[in-house]
Formats: sequence, structure tokens, C-alpha cells
Amino acid sequence: MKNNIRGLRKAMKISQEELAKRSNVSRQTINAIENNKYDPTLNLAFTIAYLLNTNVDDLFQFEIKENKRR
Amino acid sequence: MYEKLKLVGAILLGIIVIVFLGLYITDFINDEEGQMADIIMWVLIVLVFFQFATWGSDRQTEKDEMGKQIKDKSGRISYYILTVLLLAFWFIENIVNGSLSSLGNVLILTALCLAVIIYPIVQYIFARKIFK
Repeated sequence: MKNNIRGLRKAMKISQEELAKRSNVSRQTINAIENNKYDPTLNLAFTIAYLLNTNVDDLFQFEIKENKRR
Repeated sequence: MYEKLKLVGAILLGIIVIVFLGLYITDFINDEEGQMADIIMWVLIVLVFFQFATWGSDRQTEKDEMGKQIKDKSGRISYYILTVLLLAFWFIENIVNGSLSSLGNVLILTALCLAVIIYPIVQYIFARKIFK
């Protein structure tokens, strides 16, 4: 799942540490989400969207994975 | 710069640990007294080392949702590895003692059977709680 957290965060001039602190997670978690290495839970996704003054739909772009085994 | 320094430090520390470990293993094989305490000590050292290497001193990472997911996944993989190892140990024990037809080492076999059945039982109990 792709996202534009980094862009919105930088636009709001918030550091990863600050966003992590406000979302009650570690900086590593925010970093992993920004690099598309970890998909957050619904709870965290909504929290981040709220903190960045946006909604989940605009923040995350869902991509259906093609099934390679046909 | 700091990252490079950290990497060099880690490599140096790793080499020192390997050298000392080599010396220690030689000593351990030659000296049969107090081996149990040494084994426990090394298990603890490995445990603390990997715990620290993974999470560092930041407890927040370990406790948040990503940390929990990492722990869950590694727990599941460890369970499968342990089950396969138990099966391998049971086979090796049977081959060494030449008793392939019998039950072999009953304790290892019991541990293996438990390892195989505990997961579906726990899964069933957990699923019942959610499905209700």
C-alpha cells in the first residue's frame, strides 16, 4: 500500500519523531510506513490521517496485487 | 559518517567476539566441569545480544504495533523451525542408536508431538473466541 505521508508531513514541517510521538508509535514505525515497508493498522492509519489534516483515502493508495499463480 | 563509524565498530566488536568465542569453545571442550552453567550463560548472552541488536535501547519500538507484528511473525517462524529441528533431532538420535523401527527417544518424540498439536489447539481456542 503506497502513501504520501512523507510529503504531507514535510509540508506541515513535522519531523518523523514528532509525528511518531503524536501517533504514540516509534519513529521506526513511521519510517517503515513512509517507505512502504509496513502497512499500519486501521487505528494508526486514521490517527496519522487526522494528525496530517487529511483522510485515509487521500493518504493511502491501495493497490490490488496481481495473483502470479495462474 | 556516524553510521560508518557504527558499522566499523560493530565489525571490530564482532571479530573480537568471534576470537574470544573460539578460545572459549576450545576451553569448554577440554574442561568438563561447570559446563551446564556455561551453557545457560551463553544462551543468556545470545538472547540479550539479539534482543539489543533488534530493538536497541528504545523500548517504544518493541511495544508499538509494528514491534508486535515483528514479534508475532518471528514467533510463528521460530515455532516451525523448532518443530523441524525436533524432528531432525529425533531422526538423528534414532540413526545414532540404530533403532529406527522403535519409538526412539521418547522425550524428543513427546516434545515433537506436543509441538505439532499445540499450535492447532491454541488456534482452535483463539478462533472460537473470535467466531462467536
